[in-house]
Amino acid sequence: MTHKELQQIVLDKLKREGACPTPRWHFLLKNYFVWCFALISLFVGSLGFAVVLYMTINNDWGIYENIHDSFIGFVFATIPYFWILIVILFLVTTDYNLRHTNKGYKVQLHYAVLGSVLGSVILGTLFYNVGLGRAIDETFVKSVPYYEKVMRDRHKRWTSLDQGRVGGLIIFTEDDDSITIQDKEGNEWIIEIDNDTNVFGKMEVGNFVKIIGEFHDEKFEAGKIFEGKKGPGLAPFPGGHPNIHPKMLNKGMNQFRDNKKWMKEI
Amino acid sequence: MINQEKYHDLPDEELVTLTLENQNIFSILIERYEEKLKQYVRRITNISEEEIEDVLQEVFIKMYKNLNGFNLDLSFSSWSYRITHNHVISHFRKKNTRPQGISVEELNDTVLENLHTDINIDKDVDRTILKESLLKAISKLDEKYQEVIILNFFEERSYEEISDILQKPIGTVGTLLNRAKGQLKEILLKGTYDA
Repeated sequence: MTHKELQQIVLDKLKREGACPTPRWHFLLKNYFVWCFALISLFVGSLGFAVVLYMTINNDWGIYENIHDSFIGFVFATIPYFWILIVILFLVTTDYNLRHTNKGYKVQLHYAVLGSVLGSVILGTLFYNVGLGRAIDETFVKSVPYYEKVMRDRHKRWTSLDQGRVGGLIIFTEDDDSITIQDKEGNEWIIEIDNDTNVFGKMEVGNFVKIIGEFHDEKFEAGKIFEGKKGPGLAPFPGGHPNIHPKMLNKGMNQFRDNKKWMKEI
Repeated sequence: MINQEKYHDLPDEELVTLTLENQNIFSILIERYEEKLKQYVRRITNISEEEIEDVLQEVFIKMYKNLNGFNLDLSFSSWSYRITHNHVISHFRKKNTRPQGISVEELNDTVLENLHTDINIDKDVDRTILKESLLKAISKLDEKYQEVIILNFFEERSYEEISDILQKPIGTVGTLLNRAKGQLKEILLKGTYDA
């Protein structure tokens, strides 16, 4: 076949098919979409990282022996596998999309992966610091079915009376031998304190506490009481706590006192 | 038809812009690249001349339809090789086959010399024997290594051009070429190219 023949065949075919070049916007749009997917993936992955960070920091490391038999066992039992999987999944999609942009192929795989990881860590830390890690976890607890099961009842860790753990907001302190707390499910508990109770932190109304002890005869006898931490994105309890504003506590004081009396009567 | 003389000295990129206004100008780009791409398809597929013609027609039609996707940061030459390479791959994928080897008569003295120097083989070997064994050895290489060897030594493309054609990072192209040369040398030294 000569040059002329091929040129002619191709041009004839183009004319016969009425072919015309695909519009430029089509290619531009495709590239923008790929960039958008990459950025969305980075964003979602970073949110996942914020939750991982939140769960890791708020994992009751200091009292692991009261939760699990061994430290290693505690680590494996509390690793947020679900969120780590989300982070990895979105890292892969970020990387995949970045490499499918117009010039993405020029970037070496390890640099692309490193870039996605760094991006997720930086953004995720930022998200964690503004409290998004906690907010996402709480939202999932409230509205995603089976989330609690997937997280292996992590959020029930401080409502496990049978296992000797309870946590909540101090809503009433009458004397030195008891406090009343409200747990994250809204239940109120009277906590008995005696001379053997180790108290770490301040027992003031409005403070969050985690208590290890024994529940019998409708009373919870505290062995150790820990004041929960507060800070950016830090939840004192995994899964958060019902929204009770400290100013509202005084208003309900009388009602709580009645409750306490009622509980004692039982 | 158009007056070819008028466009002869224009660079490819300018011809692309003009083709978008006048379809007939595309014939000049076809003329410029027909032989090069035919040779390239022949080298990476070893299919019949008739089939090469068909593949080439499809490649140029695809090229025309995608002209707006041509990025001026790239050379038209690399872009045309990329389209050809991708088309050949998908052509064979559709047929559930793989492109097979390279054409024996393609190894000219320059390519032979470059390969010879690069993979450091015994210079005293008879040229005809060396040529024959090299071609057989190349055809025994893994497909990914064949691709880079053909582009680098036969098509005389730079690392950057190969990177643009195969859409792989330059570093990866370098690694692939080094591994390809290593594998080639190993096949030649072990004499397994006849197997």
